[in-house]
Amino acid sequence: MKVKSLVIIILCVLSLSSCSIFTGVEQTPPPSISPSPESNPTATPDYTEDWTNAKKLVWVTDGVDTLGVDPQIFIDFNNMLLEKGADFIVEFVDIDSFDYMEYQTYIRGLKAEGRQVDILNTGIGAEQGEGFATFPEAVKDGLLEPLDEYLSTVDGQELYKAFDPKAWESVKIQSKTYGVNNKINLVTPYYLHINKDVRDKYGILLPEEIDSLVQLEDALKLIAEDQKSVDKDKSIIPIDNFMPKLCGILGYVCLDSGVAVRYDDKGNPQAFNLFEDAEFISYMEIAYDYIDKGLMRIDESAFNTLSKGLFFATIAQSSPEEFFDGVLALDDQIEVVSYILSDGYVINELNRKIGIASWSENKEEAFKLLTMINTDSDLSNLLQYGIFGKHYELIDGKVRMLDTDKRAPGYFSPANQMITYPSGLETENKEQIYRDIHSLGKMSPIAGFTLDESSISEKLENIKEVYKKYEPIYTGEMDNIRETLNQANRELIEADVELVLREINQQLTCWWQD
Amino acid sequence: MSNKKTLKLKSIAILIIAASVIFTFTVCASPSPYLSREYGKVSIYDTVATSSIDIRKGTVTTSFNDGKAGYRPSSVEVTVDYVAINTVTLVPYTIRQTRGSNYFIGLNGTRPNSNYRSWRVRGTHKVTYGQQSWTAITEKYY
Repeated sequence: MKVKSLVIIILCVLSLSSCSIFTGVEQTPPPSISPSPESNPTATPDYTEDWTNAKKLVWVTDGVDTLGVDPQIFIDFNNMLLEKGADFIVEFVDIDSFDYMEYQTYIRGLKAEGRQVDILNTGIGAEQGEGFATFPEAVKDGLLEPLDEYLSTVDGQELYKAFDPKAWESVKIQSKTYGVNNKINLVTPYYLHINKDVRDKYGILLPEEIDSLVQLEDALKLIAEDQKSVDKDKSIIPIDNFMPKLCGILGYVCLDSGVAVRYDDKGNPQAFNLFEDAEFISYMEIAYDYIDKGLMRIDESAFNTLSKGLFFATIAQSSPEEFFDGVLALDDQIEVVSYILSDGYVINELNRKIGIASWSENKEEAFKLLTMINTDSDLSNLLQYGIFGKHYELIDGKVRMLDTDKRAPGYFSPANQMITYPSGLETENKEQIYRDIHSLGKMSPIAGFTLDESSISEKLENIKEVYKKYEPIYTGEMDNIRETLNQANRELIEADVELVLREINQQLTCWWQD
Repeated sequence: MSNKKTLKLKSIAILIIAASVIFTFTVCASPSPYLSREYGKVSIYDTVATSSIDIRKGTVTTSFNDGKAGYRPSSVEVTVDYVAINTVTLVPYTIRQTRGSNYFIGLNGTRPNSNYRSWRVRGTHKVTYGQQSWTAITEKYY
């Protein structure tokens, strides 16, 4: 007995003291004040290596993939390029600013001054609703070189085949390809996820297929009734707010003005007034009915509750990194039964695209660099995860990031993430899984379409105002959804929505036929 | 206590020490890869500034510890700059907010929805005690 007690005491003391020894070491660095981040362009890395025989390419980026990154990664990257037969190295140049328009001024200045730029990242866009898309603007301002001629060569085909043909469609502007779209989530399907634990707890029998959310109503009522007395933070959400995702679920996309476009029965793009669409109205009425009955939570804290897995049903766009084989990664991994609602669309790329600078004097090498990064997993792994053993380790073949002062470029790196090591819920055959998902997605009905607004600009502006005014419908803030939509439609008719739709549809038809 | 028993106890103790050391370095020595911390002093008191980030949110904190409870003649302040990026449209969502308190203050920036992914959080921290002050910047990327 004495021995047992002693063992327990020793165990407790040692566990605590060894933890505090560690934290003690970690907690006593000298006081320091971090320097203010530079807002001037900074070059990484410092070129102290012996690369004198190699040509230097300059890659200009918005910093999302370079700021705070360990410079050793770029040194290793260059050494790896040379090992793999390249006769060039790369200098990454970025700008550190929270004002993303500064980068737009900066890259235009580089061109105006004729400074060396070979690869250009067009930069992240303006915040939602500000209407500045960096990729088409870069093309419009002549910053990017068309890649079509390069892609048509034998070497170019190697890069072309690295991605789904729709990825190339998405970076075409006026029939020319100006960038590489290596986004791993080229298209992300919409799913209805049902939490298995909650299903089992309430003994709910799920249908084979779900045609309408109404099929779940009895289950939602059962859960809501049972959770009535539970604290809001701890109660299970019967279904979370799906209204902001409604367009995606229904396969609709919206133009800047708020006018919706879908494929009609014959597969042609068709513009229409969303607020008059029967399916849209029906879903909105269901949603508002659920809010009234306490089946759907619309408060801000619902977001956190959902992350903890406290829900029965949720509708989400999920990539294989966060949802695979019946497991959904939230704060913890939870088991789900999932129904696919929509394959999602491949959209026209608008921001942060990588291409060859139009004024580059090293275009051949720049194209070769893009090919190497996107087809060689060693280069892509280094660019995404950093240095093995320093920035990441592999556990059962999956990446686990390590604690480092200087980070790896990560998710927004220029790597082709389809060919890098799996992370999250991804599996070893992730490339095939992503390729399958990409192949199922359709091009958005407005991908590549540019509306000529000249004859309807004023009316479009008015229509946009009406749609904007009624945005609160998606957060459940209206009392009577049917009457609200009727009122919105009266205002849209006053704004000449029918004439505008006729004009847009005429343009869509001509564009589609071309 | 017999010699045999003492030996057994010693062996157990050694095993426990070994297990504890292993435990320490596997569990305790696995700090979050997404936490930046700065330590300092104002007068003789400790100050700590942190920035941490995960896929959903960025958090910054500033704290002053003089070992006392209740009101004290100090002030702490923090500004959070948080950026999340929409993985579909590649547009940013930025938050800048400043708040102050007496001895501890924390601020969160949270992504607007699951299409966004946290990218960067920066904390600008200031602690004042009497005539002295301490400032720090912490930053972390996801």
